[in-house]
Amino acid sequence: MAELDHPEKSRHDTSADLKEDKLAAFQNIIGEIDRQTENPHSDSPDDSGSEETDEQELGQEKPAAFDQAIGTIARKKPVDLTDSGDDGLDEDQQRAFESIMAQLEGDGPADAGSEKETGVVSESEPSDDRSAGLEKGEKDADADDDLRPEDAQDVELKDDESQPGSYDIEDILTAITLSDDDSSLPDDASDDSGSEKATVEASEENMVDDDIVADQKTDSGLEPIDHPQTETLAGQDEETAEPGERPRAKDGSVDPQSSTKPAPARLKDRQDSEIFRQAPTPDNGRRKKGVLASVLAILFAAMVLALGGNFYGLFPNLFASTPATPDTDANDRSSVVVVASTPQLQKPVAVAQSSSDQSRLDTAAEELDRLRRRIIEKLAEIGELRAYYQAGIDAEIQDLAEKVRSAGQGKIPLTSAMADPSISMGLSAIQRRETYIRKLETPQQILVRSSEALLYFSRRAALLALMAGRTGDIDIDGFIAQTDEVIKMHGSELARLNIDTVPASPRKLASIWQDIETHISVAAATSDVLERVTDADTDNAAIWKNICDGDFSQKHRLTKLSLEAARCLTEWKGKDLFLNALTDLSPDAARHLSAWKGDWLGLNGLTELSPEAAVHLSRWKGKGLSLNSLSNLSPRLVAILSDWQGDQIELINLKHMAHWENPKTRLFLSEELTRNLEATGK
Amino acid sequence: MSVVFLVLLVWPSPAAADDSAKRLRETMADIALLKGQMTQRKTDADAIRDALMVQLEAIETEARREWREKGIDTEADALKNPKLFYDLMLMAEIQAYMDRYAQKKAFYRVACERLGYLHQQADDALKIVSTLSGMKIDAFASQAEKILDGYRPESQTIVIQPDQLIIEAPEKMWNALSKGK
Repeated sequence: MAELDHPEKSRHDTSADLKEDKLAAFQNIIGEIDRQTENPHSDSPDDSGSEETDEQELGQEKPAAFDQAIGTIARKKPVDLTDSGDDGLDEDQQRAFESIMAQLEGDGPADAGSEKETGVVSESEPSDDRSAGLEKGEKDADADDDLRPEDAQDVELKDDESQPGSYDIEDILTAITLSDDDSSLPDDASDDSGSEKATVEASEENMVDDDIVADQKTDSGLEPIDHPQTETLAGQDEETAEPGERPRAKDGSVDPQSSTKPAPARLKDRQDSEIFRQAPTPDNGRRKKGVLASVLAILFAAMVLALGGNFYGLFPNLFASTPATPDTDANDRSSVVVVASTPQLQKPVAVAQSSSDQSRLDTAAEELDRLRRRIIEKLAEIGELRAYYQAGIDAEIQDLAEKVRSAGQGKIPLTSAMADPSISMGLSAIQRRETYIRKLETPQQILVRSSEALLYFSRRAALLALMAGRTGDIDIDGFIAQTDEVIKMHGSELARLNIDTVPASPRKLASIWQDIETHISVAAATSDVLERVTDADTDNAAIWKNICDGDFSQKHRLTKLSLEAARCLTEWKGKDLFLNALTDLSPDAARHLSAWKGDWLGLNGLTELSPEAAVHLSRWKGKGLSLNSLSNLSPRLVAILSDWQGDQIELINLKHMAHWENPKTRLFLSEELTRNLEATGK
Repeated sequence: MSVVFLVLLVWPSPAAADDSAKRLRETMADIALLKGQMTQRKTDADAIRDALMVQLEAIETEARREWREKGIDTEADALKNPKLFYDLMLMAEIQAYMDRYAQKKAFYRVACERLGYLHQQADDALKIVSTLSGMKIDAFASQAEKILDGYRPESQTIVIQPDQLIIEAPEKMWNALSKGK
């Protein structure tokens, strides 16, 4: 009875607006409950006689009257007025709920009969208990024309078998309730096979049932004024509705007394709770709303899972690394079963997998190529740097040789030469640059090896991609991991490139000076010979004169070009102008040549081209330009020549090439350089 | 009357013959499906091998050019040259894959032949079952199912077991290349 103190207090708090007669009715209810608690087996066969008499006297209209009375009281409550806005929805919700449950359960009329009986019996008992105490409320209900739909529905439940959906739920509820009763009434339970059947059938819907019970209990708890006992009882029943106790509701075989009925006081409470579950009450609409909400929630969850499954199917990559959820596992298992009988269904899975593998391989190959491009660019930079140092050394040697020659002193010993600061600094510069050139060899070799290694892996990626589409057991993961390591290793190598750690001892100055002396003597001898040969073979001056006189027949023999001759060459009416013996082209001569109106200009004897001359050549309005003796083009020269608007340019002897910015002009390069550029994507 | 009853009792049931025919048709459908898949896998193996052959020829051409351009004479020099070394590695790998795909192609060819034979056997049995009654097909059906189960793992994709490939060493590839093989 301790539990009843609390609801009494709460009833005090909220019962100020209740009428005396209603309070009397509740006192009667409490009295009935107390009697019920004192004799919990009142519905046992021993006591059935008196109750059957009551049932006969009251008939089946009493529970409905009870509902009406409770509904009337509930509508008069301020608390319930706040919920009255939902009342209009109850009928729709009821219909929707019945429809959904009918679909979910697929109930049959065969079960309805036996379950109906069970429902009638179970509903009549508590209503009989309550009917005497609720006569006043019944009168109020009769006076109230505005019966709530759910009340009417509950009344109809007893007679109307044409509503299988709601009837099944009622049966399930009854079954759950009876499972509680069975614990205290073993004889009834063993005899009542119909209720057992309902319990077994209801076990499939236990989630819904539990929700229903929980909702019912919660709703009961929302109306403490109408059902003062239920405030506490609902709270207690909410505890019993916890997930840990759900199996008890599923299979009535477990002894519920040990877990749910530890004390006689709770027995009474449980029976009250049972009463409110069985008796039609104004809460029915809200309870069914709760059921509907639960069902909708389950349907929503199912939709989410289905959508999730579709999403997983559309974007398997997104979930590749995430562990499969139980739902997807279930899907997989079902698909495996299907696949076992129809193997062709596996194919899309394999295709999806292979397309994913191919994209991963493509990505890996792209990363490899990207790094390889960076390495080749670095290689080109190193090549240009070495060429720059070598050009500086050559220029220095020429300057030193010129100095020595101009001094006219012949051979000078190193010690004497070092007295001259310009010679000593020149020698030091040569020494330093030679050291640089040697040191740069090491990173160059490293980069070449890295480049080839990356090309090897890139090609392997292409091979695996070729096979992975139609071969099942290619180790893509292993290869990707290997590729990542390779990229990491060569990337860090590229970042760590330096020449500080490269061991290279500088050449001795005496050795350098000796080379310069040798160069001076050889150059002197060679220049003498060359001058004689040149004068003998080519009389540039005579050819210049002939050209300016309109005789262009010897133009291809020109080794030098005067400004006047260059101007005269613009008068040449031919489509081609080949000056392939020309080894030097001044900017002014280039400026004149750029005015020639022909298609093809061949300057294949030029091993060097100044940027100024290149600027003038880039303004020439021809179609083809041959510069096949140029082996190095600085990025600046490449940029200048990229401005030329002709059709094609030949640079067959070029070793390195910076980015060519003019896609309109076709480039003719060496096969090796073309391969390198294709590999790097330039 | 009793004789008629006995005859009817002993006479094979038409329903049993229908079941056998149905089972045989199902088996034939399974065989045909699997054979089609195996044929497709054989075509796949062939196509992959051809594509690998193209790759191998391209790499070999590149290796020979490098060999000539750099004037490489010895095996040591060849293995020191990065391009040549990696070309030889790749050639060895491609060659190994090609050999394996050739094996798989042969496997699928034999599988298709066996499945064709099995299909024919089922068709023959079906004709008998459709004409006469009482032919037992259980042994055949279970045997066919075992064969189908044996082939099914390889029917969806080609299985080549890359970890069991035998890839030649670059030295051996160089020897073959330098000897013009």
